[in-house]
Amino acid sequence: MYDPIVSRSSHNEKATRSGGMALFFTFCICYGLGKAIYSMSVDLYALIAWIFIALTGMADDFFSIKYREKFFLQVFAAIVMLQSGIYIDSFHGVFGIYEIPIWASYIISIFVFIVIVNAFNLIDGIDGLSALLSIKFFLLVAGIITISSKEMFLVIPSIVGGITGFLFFNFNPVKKVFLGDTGALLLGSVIAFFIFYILNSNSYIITDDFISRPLMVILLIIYPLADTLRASLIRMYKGKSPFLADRVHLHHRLIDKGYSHWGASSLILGLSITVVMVGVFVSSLSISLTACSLIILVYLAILYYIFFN
Amino acid sequence: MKNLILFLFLSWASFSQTIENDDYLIIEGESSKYFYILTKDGYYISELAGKITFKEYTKEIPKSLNVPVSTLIPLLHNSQTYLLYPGGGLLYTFSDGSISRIDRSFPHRNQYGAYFFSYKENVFLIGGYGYWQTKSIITKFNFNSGDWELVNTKGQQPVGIDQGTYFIEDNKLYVFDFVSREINTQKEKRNENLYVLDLDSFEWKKLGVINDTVDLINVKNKGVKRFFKFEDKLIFSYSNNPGFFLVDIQNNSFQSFKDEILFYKSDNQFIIKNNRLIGPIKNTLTGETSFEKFDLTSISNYPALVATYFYRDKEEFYQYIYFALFFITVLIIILSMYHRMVEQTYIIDESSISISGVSHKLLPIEISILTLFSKEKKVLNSKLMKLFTKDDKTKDYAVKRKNKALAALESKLLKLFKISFIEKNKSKGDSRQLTYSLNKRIRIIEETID
Repeated sequence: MYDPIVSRSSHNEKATRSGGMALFFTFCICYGLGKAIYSMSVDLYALIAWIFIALTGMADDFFSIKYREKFFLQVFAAIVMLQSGIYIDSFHGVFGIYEIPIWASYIISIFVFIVIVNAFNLIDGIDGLSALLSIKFFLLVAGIITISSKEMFLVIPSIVGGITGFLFFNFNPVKKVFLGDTGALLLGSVIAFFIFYILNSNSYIITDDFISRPLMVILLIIYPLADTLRASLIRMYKGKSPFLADRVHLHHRLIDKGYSHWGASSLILGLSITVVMVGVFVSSLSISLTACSLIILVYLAILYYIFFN
Repeated sequence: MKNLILFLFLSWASFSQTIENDDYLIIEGESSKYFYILTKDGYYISELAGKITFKEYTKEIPKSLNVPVSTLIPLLHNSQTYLLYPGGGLLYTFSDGSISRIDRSFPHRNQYGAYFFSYKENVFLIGGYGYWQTKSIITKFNFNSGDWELVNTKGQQPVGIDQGTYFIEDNKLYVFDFVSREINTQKEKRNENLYVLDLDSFEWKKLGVINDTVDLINVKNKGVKRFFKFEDKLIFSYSNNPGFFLVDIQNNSFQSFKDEILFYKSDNQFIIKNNRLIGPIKNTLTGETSFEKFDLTSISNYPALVATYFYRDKEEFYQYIYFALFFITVLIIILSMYHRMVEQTYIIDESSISISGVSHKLLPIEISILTLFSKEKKVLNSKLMKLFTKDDKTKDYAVKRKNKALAALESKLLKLFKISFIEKNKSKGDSRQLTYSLNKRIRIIEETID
């Protein structure tokens, strides 16, 4: 269970990968209690997909399974999740497209699931980053879910509570604990499900009046998406596999610049919150989605120049 | 309060008409001065002033009307009373003292418990239960063909609406507090959302979750539900609950009132006439049913037990977002404090010192010195000297070695971690005795080897 210290590692203390398992079991207990004494409920297929992806993560933490095997297990989990009937069935006006055919919905949903799950796994490179960004996502999405679905809302405090507890161990130099693949994949899959929910045209999303759903989703997970895209592009530019593990991530840049893990994670959290705020503000100005996206891109470029260059 | 009770008693006592028939249907009628009570044998004209007259139907009731009249669903539309067969399909009118069938349909038995309503020139039936399925369909009666037509809807349509509470305002039909059943298990699931249907475009929209404090919606065995529109607001109540509820959907407000008389003792049959609620109350001793009225304008005299928002909307969303930002801020502050507390925790092993992923090799004697500081914050000079004392060397040699090693270690650590580690102090008790203390902000932990 100890995380091996290799050349890419940002740590050299002994640390276990048990944080994800603790998070998973915490969620299971909370769900059991929530279901028994309150109206907590998530679609059974989504629940099965989360459990399956957590078990995949556990297998990886214990036995280090191959990437291809992990990929196919993730695809399987995505297919299970689609059975819940909650998936991306509309582009909500992006490129002028609204409703999309069912086959395209399935393919796009599986692709988005794989991207999100792996993006959250890839940013789990320094203490607290993945957990803090997940907390930010869940807390902001909870505002939407509390209006739309009373049953699903309770998933969020269960997860946020679990992550908060984990963070204190993650930053503890003596009893250090990492999320591991179990935690990163589980968080990614839960986040993917809520993103499906937001992008599903049958869901009532209260933010529809002032921000486009796809734009809001991108803003909520801007750092994992931007960092994964950037790292993949750099690797491909260098003629390497885009899936190669290395130290080209933005958070590694901050560490190399002398930031502590806490400093880098909290800075990225703060910046990603400002990106959401700027995005929501720009969207409320009643300008086109393209213009809105361009302004946000300019803001991202400024942040990159100031903090990561 | 006494005056209020007296007023309520008088308002009930002043209007009492009785019938002996158990199977009856109370309908508004086209006049503002009287209402009708239909039975199988005939009908009563009940004047609001108090007089009640029985009359036989001018024509025999249609043979297709083979169910108790109390199960028919009445609707007053364009001064015409329509009576719908339970489950949908057959449609009758009551006019000129007779009941006539106007449809060319059949008993659908597909929409039991559906809501029968009119909008503009049409009458509609929405939701209901039939053939082991809850329905969210809308059917419209075609007055030309005499058939019911299915209306296509779009948007966020709820899956199955049975036993719903409905409210029509302008071109919007609001629905909440309804159940749907799973086809296989027939298990009821209560929907906790407020939906709205645009009656021009027939587009559904989910408006949000009903407020938790409106918890009565989740109470089981609450009895028959009664709801009606009064002064642009919705009033609803349940027969097993001594209270009634007033909802202003436009302003998203909900008020709960305690009531012993208004709805509690009457069953689900009632009409609203001239701001008066008129409903039957059965005397269990005599078996007679009397029709009582209540002046609804007095509702404003009732003190509200609960006044809150009805469904979660933008206001609750913004409140939640403020809470989320507050939570993140507090979490960051607590984590910062925690991190500040643990950030100067250094871990030493047999050959190096490390912190937050940064590790540096140290000499064995330096590790030995730091090991002493990992056990206690203040280390006596004598303890340190033991590390340097050798039998074949003089004490002076050991002192020089100790001082040199401590200075080198302090210099190295200061250069590496930008913080002073060890300070030299004189003992308070004995100025000749030296103690070395670790910086108070620093904690050194010796890593144990498993």
